[in-house]
Amino acid sequence: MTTLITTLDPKSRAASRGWSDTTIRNVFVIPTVLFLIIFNVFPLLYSLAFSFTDFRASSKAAVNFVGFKNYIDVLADPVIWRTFSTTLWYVIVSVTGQFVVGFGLALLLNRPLPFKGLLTTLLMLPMMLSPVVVGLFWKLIYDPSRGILNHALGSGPVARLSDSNLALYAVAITDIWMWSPFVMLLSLAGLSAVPKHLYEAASIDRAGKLYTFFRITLPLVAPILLIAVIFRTMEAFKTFDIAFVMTGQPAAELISSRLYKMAFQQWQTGPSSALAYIILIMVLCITNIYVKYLNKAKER
Amino acid sequence: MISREFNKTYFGPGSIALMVAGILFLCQPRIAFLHARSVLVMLIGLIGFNISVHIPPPEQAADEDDIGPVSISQTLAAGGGHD
Repeated sequence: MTTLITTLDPKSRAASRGWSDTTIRNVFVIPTVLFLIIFNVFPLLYSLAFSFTDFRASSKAAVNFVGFKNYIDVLADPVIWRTFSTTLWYVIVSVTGQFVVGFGLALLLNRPLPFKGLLTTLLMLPMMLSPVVVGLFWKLIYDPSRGILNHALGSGPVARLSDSNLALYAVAITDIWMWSPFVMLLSLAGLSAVPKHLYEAASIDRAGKLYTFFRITLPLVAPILLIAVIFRTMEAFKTFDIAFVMTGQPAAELISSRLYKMAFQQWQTGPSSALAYIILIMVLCITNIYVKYLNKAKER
Repeated sequence: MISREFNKTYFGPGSIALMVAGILFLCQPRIAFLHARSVLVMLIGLIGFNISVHIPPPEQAADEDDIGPVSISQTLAAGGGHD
C-alpha cells in the first residue's frame, strides 16, 4: 500500500483524488444520517402520532385525536393482558432453558475433548439459521403423523403444536435449541478467562469439585452470564417469527404476534401503535438495565 | 436538586426497581389494577433512571495512606529497594 502511494506521480489524477473530510461527510455521513431519519426516526415519530388517533390504515375516514384512549383500551383488553402473561411465561421457560443448556455445554467444552473445534462449530449451527427456517424445520419434527419426535418417543400421534397446554413449550424448546449456542459462546469466553492459578490453589487446599465450581468458577463467570441472560430476555420478549410460523394456537400467542394481527389483519392502526409503544417502553427498560450491568461488568 | 449521595443510594436503585416492577405489573396474570398502571410505573422508572445516570457519582475521600502508583524502575533509580 505504501509502495503504491509513493510511486504515484503527485500531479496525476489518481493522486489528486484524495478525499477531504468535507467530501467524506457529504458522500458517506449525510446520506447515512438521512437514511436513518427517513426509515427509522420518521416512522417512529409517525407511529407515536398514530397511537393518539383512531386512524385505520384500511379506511379513508377522517382521523380524530383520541388522547390516551388507545393506551387505556389496550391495557384494559383481556386478550392482550393474557398475551403479555403468556409472553412472560415463555421468556422465563425459554431463557432458563437456554441458560442451563448453554452453560452446561460451555462447561463440557471447557475441558480437553477430541475434535473440540469441530464440535463447537457444529453446536453453533442452529444460531446461524434463519428463525423462519428453524420454525418450519421444527414444525416437521413435531408433526403428529410424520414427525420424527413422536416416532422417536413412541408416543403415538400427539399434536403438540395444536395442544393449548403444549404449544407454548414446543415453541420454547425450539427457541432453546436455536439460542443455547449463544449462551454457550459467551459462557465459554467467561470460562476461558478464569485464571488457572485459582484452580491450582484450590486443588492444593484440597477443595472439592462442587466447592471449586460455586466459589471460583460461578462468581467469576457470573457477570458475563448475567449479560447473556439479560440479552436473551430482551430478545425473547420480541420473539415473533418462530412462534408465528409454528403455531396459531391462541394459548401460545406471544405479544409480537398479537401486535401483527392487530396492525395487519384487523387494521387497528391506532391501538396497535399504542401497543407497539408499550412494548417499546418495556424493551427500553430491559435495555437500560442491561447497559447498567454491562458497564458494571466492564468496571470489574 | 438531587444530591450525589442520594442518587447513588436511593434514586438510581429506586428507578431500576420501578422499571422491573413495571415489567412485572404488565405481565402478571392476576391483578388488573396493577396491569392498567404498569406503563406509568415503567415510564416513571425509565425517566428517573435517565436522570440518575446523568448525575456524576459522589467524590471519594482521598486516602492519606495511599501513595499512588509505584514504579519499580523509578524506585531503583532513586536508590530505593532492598540492599
